[in-house]
Amino acid sequence: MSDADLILRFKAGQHQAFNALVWRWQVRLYRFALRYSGDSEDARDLCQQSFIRAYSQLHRLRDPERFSTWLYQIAANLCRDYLRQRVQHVSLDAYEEASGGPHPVLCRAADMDKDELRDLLNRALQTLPEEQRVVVVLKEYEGLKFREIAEILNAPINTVKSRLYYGLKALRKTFNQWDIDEDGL
Amino acid sequence: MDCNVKKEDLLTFFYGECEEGEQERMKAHVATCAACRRELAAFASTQSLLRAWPDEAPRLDLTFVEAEVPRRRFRLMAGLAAAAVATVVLFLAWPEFELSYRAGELDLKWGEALADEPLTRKEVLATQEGTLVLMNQLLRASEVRQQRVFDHLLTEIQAQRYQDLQFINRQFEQFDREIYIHLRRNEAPVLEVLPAARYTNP
Repeated sequence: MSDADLILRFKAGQHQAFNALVWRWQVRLYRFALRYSGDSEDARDLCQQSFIRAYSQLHRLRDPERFSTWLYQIAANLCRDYLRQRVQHVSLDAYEEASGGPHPVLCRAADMDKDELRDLLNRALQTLPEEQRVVVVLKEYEGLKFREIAEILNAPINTVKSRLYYGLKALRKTFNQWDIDEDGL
Repeated sequence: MDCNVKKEDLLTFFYGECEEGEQERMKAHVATCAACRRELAAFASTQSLLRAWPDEAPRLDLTFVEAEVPRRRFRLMAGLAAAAVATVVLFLAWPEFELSYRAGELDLKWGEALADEPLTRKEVLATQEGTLVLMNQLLRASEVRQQRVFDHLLTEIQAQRYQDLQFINRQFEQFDREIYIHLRRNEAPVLEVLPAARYTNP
C-alpha cells in the first residue's frame, strides 16, 4: 500500500493508518534529523515532533503524492528552528568542551572504527553553515533530486546547487585540515 | 575553476541530473578540461568520505494513539445505555404484552389471540426463563465487548505513558547537559572560591 493510499485512509477517518506512515518513515526521518542536528537524542525528539506536527496537519495536505517532500519540509523547519535556538544558548567553545575537546587529528578513514568515523563525519558536517548542511544531508544521505530539495527548502534550484557546491568544498577543506582521506574505504 | 562551465552545471552533471543531451555535452567537455576533472575528483572524494557514515537503524517505536479516549468511553457508555433501552423497548413494543400480579398469581397476557386468557404458571415460567437466557446472552456479549475495548484502551494508554516517560527522561537529560555546560563555563571562578568543588559530566 502506497503512502498516498494510507493518507486517503487517514483522511477517511482511519487514523491508525498514520501509524503505518510512521513505521515506514521514522528511520529515514531520524537519520535526517541526526545528521542535520548532530545529536542522537535531539534527533529522536525532532523526529517525534515532526510526526506530531504531520499528524495534526495531514488533513491539509492536498496532494498525497507529495507526502515525503512535505514530511521532510516539516522536519527541516523544526531542525532549523531548533538549531537556531541552540546556537543562542551554547557557544562553539562550550560545545567543543562538552563534546570532548578540539577536533581529532586522524589519518585514514579506513583505520577508524564505525563510531569514530561517525563522530568525525558528524563533527565535519556541524562545521558547515546550517543552510549548506541541510542541502548536503538531503543530497548525499537522503539521495533526493535537486528539484525535490528546492521544494523542501522553498529555494530556487540554483541556490540549492550553489549551497551544495560550497558545502562540499568546505567539507573537503575540513577533511584536508584534519588530514583525513578516504583511502581504503 | 579555469573554464567557463558554471559550478551548478558541473554539480548537475556529477549527480547525473542533466537534461537529455546536456549530459553528453558535459561529458565531452570534461574529457578535455583538466580543471573540471579536478573538481569532479574532489566531489567524488568528499562524497566517498561522507557516505562512509554507517546508516543506523535505531529502535524508535513511535506509535501514534488517536486522541479519542474520552470519545471512546462515551461511545462505550452510550452503547451500553442503548442496549438497555433497546431491551426495554423490545419488551414494551411486543404486541399486546401485559404482565400483572393479582392475589398471589402472576398473569401474563400475550398477543391478541390470548388477550383474555391468562397464561398457565408453566407458560409464564417458560417465558421468564427464555427472557433470562436472552438477557444473560446480551449481558455476556456486552461484557465481552466492554473487556475488549478496555484491553485496547489500556494498551494504548500504557504505550502513551511509556512514550511520555521517555520524553520526560530525555528532557531531563537535555536539561542536565545544559546545566553542565553552563557550570563548565563558570567552573574556573567557582573552583577558585571552592577548590573542592567538582562537576561530573552527566
